[in-house]
Amino acid sequence: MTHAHAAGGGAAGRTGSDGVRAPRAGAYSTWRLEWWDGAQRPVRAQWCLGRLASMEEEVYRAVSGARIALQRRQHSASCREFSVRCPRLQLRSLSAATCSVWLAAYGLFVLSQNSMVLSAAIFITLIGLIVYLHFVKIDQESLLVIGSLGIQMTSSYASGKESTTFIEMSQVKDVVINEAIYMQKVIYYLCILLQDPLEPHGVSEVVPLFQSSKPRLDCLVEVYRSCQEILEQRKIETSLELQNKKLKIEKS
Amino acid sequence: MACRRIGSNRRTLSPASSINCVNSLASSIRTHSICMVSDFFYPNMGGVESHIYQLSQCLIERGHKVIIVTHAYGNRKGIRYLTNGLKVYYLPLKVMYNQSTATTLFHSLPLLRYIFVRERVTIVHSHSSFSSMAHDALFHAKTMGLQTVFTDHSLFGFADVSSVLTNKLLTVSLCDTNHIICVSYTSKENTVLRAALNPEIVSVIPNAVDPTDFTPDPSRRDDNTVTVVVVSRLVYRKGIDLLSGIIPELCQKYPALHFLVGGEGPKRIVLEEVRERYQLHDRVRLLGALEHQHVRNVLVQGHIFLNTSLTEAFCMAIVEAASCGLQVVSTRVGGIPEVLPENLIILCEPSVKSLCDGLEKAVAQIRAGTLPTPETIHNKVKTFYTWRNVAERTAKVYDRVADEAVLPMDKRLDRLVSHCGTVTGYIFALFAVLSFLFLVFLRWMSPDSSIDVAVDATGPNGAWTQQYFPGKKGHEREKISNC
Repeated sequence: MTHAHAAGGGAAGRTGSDGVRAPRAGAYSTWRLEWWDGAQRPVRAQWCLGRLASMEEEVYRAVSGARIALQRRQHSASCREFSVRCPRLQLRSLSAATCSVWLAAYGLFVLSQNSMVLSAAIFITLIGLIVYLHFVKIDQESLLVIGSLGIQMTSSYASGKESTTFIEMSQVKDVVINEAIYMQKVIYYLCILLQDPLEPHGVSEVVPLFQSSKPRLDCLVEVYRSCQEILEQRKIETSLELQNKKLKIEKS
Repeated sequence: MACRRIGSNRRTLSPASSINCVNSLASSIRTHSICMVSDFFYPNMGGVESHIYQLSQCLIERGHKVIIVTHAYGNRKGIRYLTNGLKVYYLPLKVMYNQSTATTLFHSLPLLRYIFVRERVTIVHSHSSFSSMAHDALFHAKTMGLQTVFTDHSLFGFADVSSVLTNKLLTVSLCDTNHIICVSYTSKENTVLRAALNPEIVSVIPNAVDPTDFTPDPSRRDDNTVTVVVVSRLVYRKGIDLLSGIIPELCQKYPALHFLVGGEGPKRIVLEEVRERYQLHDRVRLLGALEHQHVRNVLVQGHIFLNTSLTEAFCMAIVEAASCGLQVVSTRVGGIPEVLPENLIILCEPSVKSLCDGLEKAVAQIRAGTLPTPETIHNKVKTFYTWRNVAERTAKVYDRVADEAVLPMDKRLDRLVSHCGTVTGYIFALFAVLSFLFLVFLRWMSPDSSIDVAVDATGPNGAWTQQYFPGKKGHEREKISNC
């Protein structure tokens, strides 16, 4: 039922004919529906998955202009997950790259009359593709914030490889949006400030988030707000705990 | 306005006659989004740097949005915020010579365009003719159709090869700039001649000093002796060779005369030789390089300030010295005669004899006790040059410029060809066309709509001036650039 509802909403909001993509198994063994809006405005879909966490998905733009999807799952009040999905490898760009390598190889072959060039080109394309999928192309970056535990960042490569980093909550000083000069652009990015163990007000390191997808400011602000809510809750809890401890010490 | 004096070939720059700041703030409804561009900015120290900083602060106070663009200084790169939300972009461009970046007229376009678009800049204000980044920014701003203002801080010759080349470049750069600001009438004359400009688009707005930084303190002086203070870089242009002639002559005549020299430079060796030869170690003290905040402490130890510059557009040092209550003796060169009224300064020709006469006159006045007290001099000088006044006058220039139209491409090409000589004109017209094509390409690669609008720190929608700093949103502004 939820399925039909979402699809209906999508059809109403859709102006282009990019089409509804095939449903694909999600990480939580539910059906996830993706579609892309022809216009630039984000399409909002929201449905509840019964006993599972509530989930929202919105379409934003990356700094490069590519469309990205931000998915939010609220597991509980102090535990949220954000994942940014980049567009998958396009058949068009793949074939363009392959064609250019092969044409160049063919040109060399005509000049040098050495057939080794052609087989080398095939191997170069294959190895290049494997390296690209395994080490470069990131399909999804997710951020799991658990108020009492810490922040976990996962990036999954197109080949299925995943790399995960975890930062303990006591190390996290804050989550902020920062500006940086990147290539020939000036971009906003979200980052985690790590507490300097020696100095109480110092920052020892800045860990950038969503490094490969590089969402634009409107998307970052959404994630930032949610992160701040959780961090705020945690601050209140810790201060309450401290007060309780003090009270206990005073009583004893 | 009592100090304004016209005639005898001498114009005193109109002083700030107690501007009512509240009124002027209320009446200035028009606000601009200004981008200051120069190669020279803090942490580099100097006149241009402090001019840009102080002017920006006063413009922010008047409600304008101001950002500064400069090149990266060592580890200081990326985006930083200074007092009152003044945003500074330190761009990673290669430094070529004397803190000035290399210029190709093209390589900085992508970044500068991105900044102009994301900050919604309306007026580009470049500083200093030595800064190639300032010229680049003017060139790109005109290609993008933004209003441009240029401030010239220095005087130039016409004779040697380097000046001829720089003057040609300046002609090209300024021929289609909307408005030019000079720091003194002499500097205006010089710039108009060098760049073959229409004098009507050149305004004179002097520099200013912060009078609260330069207050007199007579208790620090030793009244048994007469101390002459010299604070300048020890280079040829500042007339250090003249100083080395003056020192032995006057020290022989007046046994109670002491010299205090602050500053560093290649000519220091000349002064050291003089000190050695005439055995003046106890009377001539060389302090070496001074930081700006220590200058006042040196100034207040003296009675007379001596400036021996051979060329100067607007001498800040003599205003600072007069603000500390010293009697100023200076050479009559460049814009110096315009800076202070006659009763506060003794002007001499740039020769050893004339300067010695001037110093003797000053010593005689001190001996006779006819000089006004440091307090009265300070109170007089502090009304002359204030940054608020400079900002008010600059804002008027912005208002005027904002109403003007930017030359469209065809007229700009015409102007370049007709104004800058045939060869140079056609070469730069070609550059202008190429840079326009490059801009079209960049607009296709990353359209303006795909560029995030930056969060304003200053100006009418400034997040910094709305006082919700301690709140949650404050974190968004707590930005530590590392890239």
